[in-house]
Amino acid sequence: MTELATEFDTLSYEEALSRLEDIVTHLERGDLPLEASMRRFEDGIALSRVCASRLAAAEGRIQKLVEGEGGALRLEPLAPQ
Amino acid sequence: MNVWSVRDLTDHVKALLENDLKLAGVAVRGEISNFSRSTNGHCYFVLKDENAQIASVMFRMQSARCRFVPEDGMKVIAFGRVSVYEQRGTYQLVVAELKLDGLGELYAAFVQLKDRLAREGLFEEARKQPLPFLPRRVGIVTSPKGAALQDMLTTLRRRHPGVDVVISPAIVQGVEAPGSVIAALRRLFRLEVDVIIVARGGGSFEELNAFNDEALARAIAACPIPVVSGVGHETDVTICDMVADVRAATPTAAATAVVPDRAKALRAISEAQVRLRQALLRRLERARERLGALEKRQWMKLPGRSMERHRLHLDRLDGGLLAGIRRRHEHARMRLDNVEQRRGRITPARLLERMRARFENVEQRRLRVSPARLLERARARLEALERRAWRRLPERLVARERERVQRLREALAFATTRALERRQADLRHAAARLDAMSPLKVLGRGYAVCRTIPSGGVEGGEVVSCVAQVTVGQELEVRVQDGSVGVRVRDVVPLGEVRAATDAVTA
Repeated sequence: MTELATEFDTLSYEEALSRLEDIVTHLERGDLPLEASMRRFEDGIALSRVCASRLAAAEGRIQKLVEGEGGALRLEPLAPQ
Repeated sequence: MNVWSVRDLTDHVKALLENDLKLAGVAVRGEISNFSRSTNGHCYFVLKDENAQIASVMFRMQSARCRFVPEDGMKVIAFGRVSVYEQRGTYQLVVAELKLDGLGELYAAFVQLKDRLAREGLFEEARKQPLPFLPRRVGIVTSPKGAALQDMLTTLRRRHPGVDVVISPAIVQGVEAPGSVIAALRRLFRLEVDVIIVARGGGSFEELNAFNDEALARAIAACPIPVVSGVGHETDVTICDMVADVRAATPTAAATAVVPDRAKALRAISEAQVRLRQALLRRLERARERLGALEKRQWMKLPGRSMERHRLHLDRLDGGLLAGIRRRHEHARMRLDNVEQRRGRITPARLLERMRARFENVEQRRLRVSPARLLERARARLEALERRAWRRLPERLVARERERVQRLREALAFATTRALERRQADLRHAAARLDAMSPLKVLGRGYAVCRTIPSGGVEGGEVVSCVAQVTVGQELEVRVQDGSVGVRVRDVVPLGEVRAATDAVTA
């Protein structure tokens, strides 16, 4: 299977989700011509993949912000409690 | 009697009052009235109850420490000493500290600040910033040692493990708290986070009071990054809660507000995919139905009907032949029909061939631009689209759809074959009937075709249909069913002249 368009890769999660919702509504109305329906469907699937990949980001770090000498900031791992 | 000077009397009274230990440090309960503040900051007012009053003063230094703004009508407890103001001849209460009586000083200060900031519009909905849907990095201002932090981290982990968290430690209770929280906030600005939580666990009004601080409230209001405030329990509302972009009832609620529930969001995305697929399948279904309906209609308009025309044509030919032969027969002379004569060089076989060719030609022409051809094309396009769709669909759906298309294909093929077979059968019947009427078959019944023999022995002489065409002694070729016979003319007898000859022929 060929990879779908990556034109959506730069969208934020909110933008992608919002467009996906639009497409679902549109496609469900059923009044588009067949070729256009096909294209919308493929765009929708691509957008859903973008959303899922944003959510599936690897585990985030938990750190402590500490101010050092002369106001320099640095991040330290949080000590387990 | 001793006569006092005013000065002396005043001094005496002053000494009496100011040296009395009981009056050196008193707490007096009363109501403020006639309050005024001079330009240099000294406060002058009257402390009264139902029966008496006493002039009071609170000097600048002391009044600055006052945590609320004294107003007429306030019930207070004034701590101070009694002194005498000689120049006026009055005594007064010099107030060192003013406390609100009964209502609660802290609470009054809180109410006053709240009203003031509300009037400035700091709590307006329109000022509040929306939270980012999916922050990459969350900043938390809180005590690094409290349970609130652990609760928040647990919640964040559970809802959305993918988010980065930065803790900016602060002191969250006591006089140092407001300054500490402000500094912690400012550190987070420099780091760039997408959203900030300011939080501390539950406590008494006094313990949470740091979060009613004016400077802190203004710092949060001015913060360019969205701030979620989660201070204390559900029922505790601090000024920070009011001025923040979102108020959470507890620290845990703040963590919940800041990240989406990942599992739920992923489910929603799956659902969207299902809806997309179903909508597309419905759309394809509709297209297929339309195509099917068209195909059903068109079949009725295809060659079947025009077959009728051809069949009629053939029937007419049949009828013509038959009538001609009957006519000849009535004249009691064996003669081939006009059609055959006119067509001289065209053999029955060739005639049949030509008819067959013409029929098939027509058939082919129809097929080239036929509705069937167009439908074929439409079907091919539809199937191409369906294949594209299937690549995105799960296996079992694909299998089901394939079956349906296969069934439709078979139905189409079946209909095609049937029609074709029908046409072929019709052709065969037409050919058979033509054949039956063919002059060749007539020959089989005993009739003969008589031909002259051209000089040179080349085949295909004239058909003899009149006695005038031959002379006695001429050689002729007589064609019968299975071959030809060479004959020589013995005599020529025109019709009607010699009855005997005719009788001999018709015997």
